[in-house]
Amino acid sequence: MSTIRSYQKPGKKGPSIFALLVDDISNMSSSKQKLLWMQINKEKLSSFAKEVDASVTEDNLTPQDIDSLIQEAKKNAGRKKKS
Amino acid sequence: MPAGRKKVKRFVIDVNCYITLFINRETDWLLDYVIQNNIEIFIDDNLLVELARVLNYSKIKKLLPLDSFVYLNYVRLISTLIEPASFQVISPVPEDNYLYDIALSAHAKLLVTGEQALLHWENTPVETVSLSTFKKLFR
Repeated sequence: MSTIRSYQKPGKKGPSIFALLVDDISNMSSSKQKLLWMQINKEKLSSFAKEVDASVTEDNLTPQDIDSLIQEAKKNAGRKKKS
Repeated sequence: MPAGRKKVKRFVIDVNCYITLFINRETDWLLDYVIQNNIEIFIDDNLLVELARVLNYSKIKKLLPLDSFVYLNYVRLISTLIEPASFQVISPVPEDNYLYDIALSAHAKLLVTGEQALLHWENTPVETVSLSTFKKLFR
């Protein structure tokens, strides 16, 4: 609040909005910085997410099908077959 | 902006839930849910390795045909990568012990998993919910 109240003193040029923004962001927690970054980039992130959604090749799997497939994958994925 | 005002809620999401969300075409939904509700998701290298392993399993690969790097990048972009401390938690599913290291290190409020043994573990050190419960937590 004090920065805003004393933004520009008579005869002196105040800091740029960019500088104020950097100051605000640097005072945020890393969690809030991350959320802010996501908010700013929401459109790009959403477009990326939609591409991922569009890549799915199967529509008719039940939740049970998906669960058993994941269980199978967790159990077997990356394990070498016994010779 | 909302990020500056509301408290951030901290979560850990298990690999099985990411895969379910991908298969159900809920990737964009999760992004929106995270942003709208000020959620911070935590991951570590173990979770990414496990996710890559499952994504490269042949039957999963048929459903999610993009390079696993793409799905991993999505998870990286919406999450915070940490190097968790070891809390020596012995869960009913030993391969998932690392999830508790992430959750406890990040002071996460909830662990989201589809693993029944973890959902029904009475001595869990972190509150554990299913993906369907997670989806109903907010709006």
